[in-house]
Amino acid sequence: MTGSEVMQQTVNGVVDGSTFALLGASYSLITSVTKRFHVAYVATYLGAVYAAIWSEDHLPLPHIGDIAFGLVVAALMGVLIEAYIYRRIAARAARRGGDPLIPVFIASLGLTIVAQNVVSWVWNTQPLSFNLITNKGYSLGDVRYTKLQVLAVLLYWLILLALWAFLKWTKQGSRVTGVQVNPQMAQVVGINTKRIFILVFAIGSVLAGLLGMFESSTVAAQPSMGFNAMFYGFVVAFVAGMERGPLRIAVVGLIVGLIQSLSALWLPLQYAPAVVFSILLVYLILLPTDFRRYFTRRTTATIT
Amino acid sequence: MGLSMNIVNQMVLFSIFALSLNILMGFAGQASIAHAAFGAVGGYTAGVLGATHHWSFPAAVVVAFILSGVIGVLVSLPALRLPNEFVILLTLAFAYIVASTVISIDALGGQYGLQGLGDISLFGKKFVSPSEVFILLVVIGVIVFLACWRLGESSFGRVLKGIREDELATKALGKHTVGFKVVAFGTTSAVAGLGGALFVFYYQQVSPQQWTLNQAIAMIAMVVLGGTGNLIGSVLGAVVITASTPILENVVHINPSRATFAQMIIYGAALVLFMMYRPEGILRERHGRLRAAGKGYVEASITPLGVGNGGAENQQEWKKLLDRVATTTVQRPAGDGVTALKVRGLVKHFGGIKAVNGVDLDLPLGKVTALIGPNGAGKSTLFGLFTGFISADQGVIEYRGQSLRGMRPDQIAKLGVVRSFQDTRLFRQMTALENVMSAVPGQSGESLLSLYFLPWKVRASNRSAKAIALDQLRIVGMDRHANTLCADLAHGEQKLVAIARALATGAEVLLLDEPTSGVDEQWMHHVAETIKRLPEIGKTVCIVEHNLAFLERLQANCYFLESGSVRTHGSLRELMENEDLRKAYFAV
Repeated sequence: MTGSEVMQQTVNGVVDGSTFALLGASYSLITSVTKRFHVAYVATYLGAVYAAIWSEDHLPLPHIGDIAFGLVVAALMGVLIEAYIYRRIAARAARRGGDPLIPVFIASLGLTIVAQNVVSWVWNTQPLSFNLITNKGYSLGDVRYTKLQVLAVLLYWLILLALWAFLKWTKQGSRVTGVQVNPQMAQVVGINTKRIFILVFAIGSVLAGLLGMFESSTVAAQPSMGFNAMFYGFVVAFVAGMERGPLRIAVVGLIVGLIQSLSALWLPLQYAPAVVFSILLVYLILLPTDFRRYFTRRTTATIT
Repeated sequence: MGLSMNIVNQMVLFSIFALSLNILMGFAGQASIAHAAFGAVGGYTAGVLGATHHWSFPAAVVVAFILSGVIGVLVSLPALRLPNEFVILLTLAFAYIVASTVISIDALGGQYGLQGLGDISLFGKKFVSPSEVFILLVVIGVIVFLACWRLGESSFGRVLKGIREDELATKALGKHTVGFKVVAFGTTSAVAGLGGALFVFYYQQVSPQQWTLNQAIAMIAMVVLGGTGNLIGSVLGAVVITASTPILENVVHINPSRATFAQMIIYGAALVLFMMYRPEGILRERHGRLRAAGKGYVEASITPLGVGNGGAENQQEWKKLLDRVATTTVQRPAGDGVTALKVRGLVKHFGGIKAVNGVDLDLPLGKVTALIGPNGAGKSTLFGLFTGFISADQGVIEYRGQSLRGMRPDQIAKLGVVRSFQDTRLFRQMTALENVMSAVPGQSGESLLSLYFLPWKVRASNRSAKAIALDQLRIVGMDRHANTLCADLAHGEQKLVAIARALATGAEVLLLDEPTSGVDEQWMHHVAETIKRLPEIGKTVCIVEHNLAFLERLQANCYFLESGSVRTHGSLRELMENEDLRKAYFAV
């Protein structure tokens, strides 16, 4: 391995890591606040990209308009899923005294395959091109990078900062944190938790859509995309601790990206997911109690 | 004929997957997206052994079965001690890893997989045509069905359902829930591996396309649509979903290349709609019910105690009942013969809150002790500490001289200290009888070995558990509700069933958390009389209670707690004489 190989992998790691950072932050925003096992994150990820492609072909909008249209569709999907499907299922489970986790998860899985297969039905499974910007490659010595990568890294960290500031400094943000930390208490002090759920689904879904558009610009749009993204978002959010702020999750995402990318110096590329899986496994085994609090809170609160 | 026979065989193969997944999802309440991945483990094991190493069919299948089970245990082990979210995450990760590794390992044939696994032959007989293979598959399918049925309907299955309904309450009854979950996960993974091995031998090839996420979702759809917790439903689900492919292609005439998309859209939409409108699936879960005139079941309840109208005969009947319940075979630590539970300097702080702050108390053997005091005094926290649900910061908790600190809740319960919960925590989707039966300790049917190889022992143990459970229900007057789902019982009735369930554990020390809140007057008197009599059958009781009339009746030794410390103790009368206390708490 040479110095420039290490440099190249570090650059790739920063790009991947920044993607994981935003995936983790957007995924955890939804999951930690609503406690929904939202596999259909994939549906919104996919929905934004194909809605933008549809708009490109059918609507007389400028390119930026197609992008905006895709993001709006993603937000709508997230909001409608929560308002008309998850909420009902959770209410029904609660009436029967059960845990809504698994029913919501199964419905979410169902929505995901509906979305994937509707896309496959309409556009077929061939990869399509969808580009956010006209891409261009640069090199610095032996290290290569693209305009898209630079844009992604800058934009992602800007969004992460904005998300952090929103949660920390705005009134609406502190309501979100309130619901996340203690939903019952939040309700008691007059926060409309339903509205907060809708809000986080909207934000999370727009971010999912944006990430989907970046992936399709880097590789191509295909119906099978999104599952990897959700998986990474999930792992990052879990390892960082779901209830943590976006910046801490972002740092963990960056580290996971760097580890995965640098592992390619020693391991064949196809083992990259195995590396992430190992991180997850080690973490689950050595799980610090502090991290478990998010999930155990529900139970410990009721046994005393 | 060849085509339709092929579809029938697929139905049998998928039934094997759906049945085993139902044990995991429907009974134990653990969602897994890795069921197809375990099929891949079995399929590739059989593929490598059959195609590359030319092993015989039965040898390859048996190894696939065992290896999938072992991997199932190893994969689930880190996640099963954690809440369900982690199990889903881990199975997702496992499915993902299997999918990406089978493609990248050359020995597994990469994208194309392995072909030519060798004949399906057993005891010298070859099964070649689909209709010949059908006979073999049906035989194996029926065995799997019966094995799953046996598991689901046994005490083992009852514990799994308990975990699904309320894992914490299951632990409180002395069940090592993680152990049960690991066994369930391992067994169902092994059966998925078996299904995988049969599948690849049937098609004479193993490839990555056979074990995609779509397959895993199809399996989940079979279980969910057929009915979670209902095994016949899983077979129904497998049949309906497998039949949908040829129906879409041949009846609706959808282009085969698009039929898969249509099919997946239908599954997906069905999953969503079922979760919204009929989460239990087409067939509802079965419940073990007593036949009204069944053996050993006496219809007439005993007249409640403490209402004056009992008479000598009723008293006699009571004595008999209590004597029956008193017999226990559990070995207890010797102790000093005076104190059941000794607590010294017990401390538990939650952050800045001093929930328990240096508590000393004794529960004398064969006596009733009460913990009283305002809300937030630390009474329920003490129960949590005694039974291992909350770990103490400092102090001594000894049961008959044996320290309980650092023990798991189920170990403490097995040893003889059991708690009930203020909010009952009954298993709502199980009958009262099933609830109480699940608490009976030492049932042979909780071991897979006995379940499949010592059926006579299991039958005897099951019969005795049922008799014990019925006796306990009679004690609290709930035997007439033995067959009622706990979700359908009134709150007061649930409280009584919860007492019966705690009694059924056979524990010597019973910690009852507000046993009569919400129970109507007549039954409250009855419960008081029953609790008063528990010392006669060797029980030590500690109750948290606010109802002074009830405590008066019990003539218990009372500990008055305030802000996490024992302020004073003595008989209720003595406590009432204390001016400050009377003002502060008794408000008289």
